[in-house]
Order: sequence, then structure tokens, then C-alpha cells
Amino acid sequence: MLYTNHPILNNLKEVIKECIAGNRSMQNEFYKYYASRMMGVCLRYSKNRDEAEEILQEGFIKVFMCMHQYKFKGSLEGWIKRTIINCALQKIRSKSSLYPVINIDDIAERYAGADTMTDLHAKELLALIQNLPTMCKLVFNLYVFEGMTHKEIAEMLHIAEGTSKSNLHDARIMLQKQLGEGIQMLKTKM
Amino acid sequence: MMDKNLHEIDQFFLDSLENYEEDPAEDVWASVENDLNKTDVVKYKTKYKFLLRGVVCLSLLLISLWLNDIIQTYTYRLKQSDKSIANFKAKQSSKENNKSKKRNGNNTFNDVYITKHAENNLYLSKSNDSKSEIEKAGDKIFQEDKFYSHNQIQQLDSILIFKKRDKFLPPKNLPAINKDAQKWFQFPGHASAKNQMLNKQKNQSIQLKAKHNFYIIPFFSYDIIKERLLEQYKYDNQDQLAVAKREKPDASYTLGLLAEYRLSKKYSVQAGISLSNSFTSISSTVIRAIPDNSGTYKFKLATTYGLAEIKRTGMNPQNGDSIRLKDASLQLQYVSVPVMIKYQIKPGNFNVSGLAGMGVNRIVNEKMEVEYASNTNAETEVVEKIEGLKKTFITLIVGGEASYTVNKRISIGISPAIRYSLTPVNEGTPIKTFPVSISTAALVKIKL
Repeated sequence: MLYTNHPILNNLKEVIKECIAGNRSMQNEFYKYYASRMMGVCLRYSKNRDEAEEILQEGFIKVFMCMHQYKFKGSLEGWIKRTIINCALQKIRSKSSLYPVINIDDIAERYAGADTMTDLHAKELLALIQNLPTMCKLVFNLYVFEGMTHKEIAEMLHIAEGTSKSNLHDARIMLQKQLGEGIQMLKTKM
Repeated sequence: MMDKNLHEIDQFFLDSLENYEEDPAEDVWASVENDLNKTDVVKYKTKYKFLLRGVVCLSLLLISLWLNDIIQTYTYRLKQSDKSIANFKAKQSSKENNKSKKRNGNNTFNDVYITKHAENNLYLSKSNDSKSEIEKAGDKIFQEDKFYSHNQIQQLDSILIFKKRDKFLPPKNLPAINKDAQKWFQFPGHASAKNQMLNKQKNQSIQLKAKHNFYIIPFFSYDIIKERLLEQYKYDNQDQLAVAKREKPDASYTLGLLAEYRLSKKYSVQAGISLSNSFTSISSTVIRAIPDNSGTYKFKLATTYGLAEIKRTGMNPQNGDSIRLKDASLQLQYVSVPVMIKYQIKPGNFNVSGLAGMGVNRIVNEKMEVEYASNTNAETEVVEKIEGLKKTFITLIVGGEASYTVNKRISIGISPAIRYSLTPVNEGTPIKTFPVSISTAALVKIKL
């Protein structure tokens, strides 16, 4: 949960300066404040939690390294998110052929320890996105969560605009199908 | 219908996951910190590499200039040593000419020749045919416009100087010439003439040594440190004036070694390395515990250079706590690599020059000793880190040099200079500080 009156937000300029200067305790505070939110983003772009944590780690290193480039134009959170998404894309590009195919049967087992129904619901939905083929997942995330147009997605992923559209369509179809199957499976397990 | 359902999926996922948060494993921060530490090391290494490369390049430049100087001087000496003979001959001929003029009231002559075994076989000629004839006979003609080595002069048995206008005299006229020559050019004696020539050469050699272009300049300077301040934010409601007011610069000093290379008569380039120690006294003040960004209360003394955290042992500062600082002293030690151009305004034994250049400075040590009052007696603490202090800053150097030449190798002098920081010495601090050092250096210049 992000707090609007958190000290980080109250002294944002100072915090950023300290982080740029390499003040480790300040960087830790900064990380603590944004980590869970960004972990949610990383989970959507990754195949599993381990990979999401890897992206988060690399993303935050990049954030601290490039913090001097943030010119206080636009929200800091948006800037961090973009940096982390870029990191995720970079990682996916470099490792895309190594992805194991995750079976939808694993979903219920993986989140068997979830605390609440709401939590389970979100985690299950996340798992459905994670289970999408790489390109469909990327296009879906960028289109739905980042609000990008197909033109922007096409430029970012170096694909044709039509490919972006068809990937989004495929993603939706697969999600719809998996959503039905997942619910069915959970019902069976319960 | 199908399409509508698909679009609803977008909204469904967006609503469910847009603000989704999940705590990462605790070891993720440890990994981030570890990677940041590695990056810092790489960053410092790169900085040091940059500095090291600079020093190596500078050293190579100075060495190559020095070698070039040696080669040029050697070549120059060779030429000059030959010229010295010619000059000597010219001077001698001029003297003799004057003497002869006094004696005979005759006109000047234009050229001189020196011959070996002059008394026995004397030829005077500028004709190539005649010269070859003479050389065949075992004699040697030394001409004004050619150069001879020290050994060649040593081997001379006798030296006589003749007029150029006597272009060719056949052997049959030899007695007359001999007679004429001795009459016209009366050396004190062959041996003394030769000695004069050798002495002249020796003097020339000393003069040539004086033409060396390299100097080493050890120096010591007394510095007064001032600061140009820019307020960034107020710490504990203390503005720039309040912080600066309690600080007083103490005597600071610099020790260093410069190398100077003369590019021309007027211009020289100076480069080197120096170590500066600057001291600042901080007068009594009250430090209140202020929460940092994580909400932890800490005692931090705001200085123009940065914040110094005072970790009073056995005390966990709480809201409303304060300590009374009796006295504090801030010491900064930095290494500078200056590169300057020197322009000679007044040449001579008393030499005046102007200097301008840049310096890269690297803080190698920062320390603050604080003394604060406690219930029983005063306690002291050494703060090893000043928060926000940058490691590297760049200065513009403008100054002058007045030196007096003690002898051919050594000059002594003084060099007043102002070092004005172009970049701040700190970052993210309540006050951005640009140190300005006003220094007077005592120096010794040693010719290599």
C-alpha cells in the first residue's frame, strides 16, 4: 500500500538526491516503499515468482543507477514502473527461448497456500497471465495495464502493428479459455 | 458478442490486478544492495582508472617532452660547439683585424681560415682545387662556415688566421704569406690560442646547459579557505547564514611537486600533484534529534560541507532530545592534480609570470572531531563520514609567480594563487558548497 503522507513522498527531492549519492539506508527506504507494488508489475511480466524477483532486483538496480535521469517530470512511480518494465522486456528478449511451458494444472497447486479468497483470485489471475505465450503476455500487459496503443507496442517490441493486434486477440481468447478451466479446476479441488 | 466478452476480460484483469501488490522475498534487497556495492566499486575503480590514466598520460607527456628536450639540446650543443669555433675564429679575426687596423690603418678582412702545421705548409684558399691539394699534403684548412669537433681542435699544432681576400696563394709565395700572416695575426702563442678556443667551447657548453627546458618545483603553500554557498534546503530550520556563521576557517596548507616544461621563451606548462589539508573550526551549538526519512531520530550537525551524524554512545535519540556541542573541528584532506599554463611577464634574474589552469581534486580523507557536554564531563567523538560530501571536484586556478634566480640551476620564489571550485564539493546537502582557496606558496625551482 502506498501512503500519501509517507516521509519518502514528503521529502522526495531530498530522498532522490540521497539515493543518487549512494546513501544505502535511503535506498533501502526507497526500495521498501516501492518494492511490493513493483513486484506486482514484475509478476505480470514473468513466468513465475523467482523470475519476477530477478526482474525486480535488476529493475531496482537500474532505477538507482539511472535515478539522476529522472527530471521530476511526471510521477516518480510511473518512471520506476517504466524502468522495471524495460528491464522485464530486456530479460524476456534475452531468455525467451528458455521458458518452460507451465501447465495450467500447476496454478491451483502453486497458490494452494493463499490466505484469502481475494488473494487467491488475484494470484490465480496472475498465474493465467504468466501462463500466456511470451508475446501474447507482453502485448496484453502493455495494452491493458500500461494503456499503450498497438502502434506504440509495435514500436517497443519491434513487431508489426497487425501482429500486436492478433497477439492481443490470442491472449484474450486464451485467458477466456483458461479462466473457465481454472475456475472449473478450483471448484473440483475445493 | 464474442468481442464484447473479450473486451470485458481486459477490464476484468485490469480491475483485479492493476493495484496488485506482493512482498518480494527478503533476500531481494540483499541482492540489490550487493549489486549496488559491486557497481560502486566499479564506479570508484573507473574514477580511479580515470585519475590513473590522467597521471600516466601526464607522466608520459612530461617524459617525452623531457626526452625531446635532451635530444634537442644534444643536437643544439653539437651545432653550437662547431659554431663556437667559428665564433671564436670570427672574434679572434676581429680582434686581430682591429689590432692590424690600429697598426696599419688598413681595411677589415672578411673571412678567417685556420690551418694545421701552419708554419710549415701554409695554403690559403677557398678554391676547391686548392683545398684538395692542401689536404693531400697532410694539412687541413679550417673554414669559418664549417664546424669542427673538440678533438679536431685539440689536434691542432698551430693556428693562424688569414684574410678571405687572399683567395689563393701558390706554394711559391709561402714564405711571404707566412711572414705576412705572422705580421698580421699575432697570437700570444699557438698553445694559448688553442686554450682560448677550448675555454670558449667550455663556456658555450655551460650556456647550453642553461638552455634546458625542464624544471622540478617542490612547494609549500599556506591556504585560506573560503566558500561560495548555495542554500538547497533548511535543516532543522537553520539557514545558510546560521550554519556558515558558526564555522571559521583555520590555517590550512598544501604540499606538492610540480614539473614545468618551457614551451617557448614566454610560455611554459606546469603539471604535478599536491596534497592539501584544510581545517575548519565549528563553534558551540545545540543539536536537536531530527527524524530521518525512515522516521529514526538522529543527531546530525549541519555544516557547509554536509551533515555529520553524531552517534553518542549509549544514547538512542528520541523526539525532543538534544545535545550541546562544545566545539568541533572539520578536517578535509584532498589530492589535487593541477595543469597550468604559465606566461612570463618579466624575464631576467627576477622573473615574474602569470598562471592559469585547472585542477582535479579528490577528497581522500574526511574527519570531524566533536566535543559535547555531558552530565559529568566533556566527551569527544570522531565522525569519519560527512554525509553528502562528494569525492571529486574541479577547480579553476589563477595566480602568479615571482622568482629569483639564485644560480644557473636554482631559483626561489613565491606563487600566490586562487583556486575556485567550478563544481560543488557536496551533493544532496542543505547547502551546496564551492570552496575557494586563496594560497601563497613558497617554491624552489630546480633545473634538470
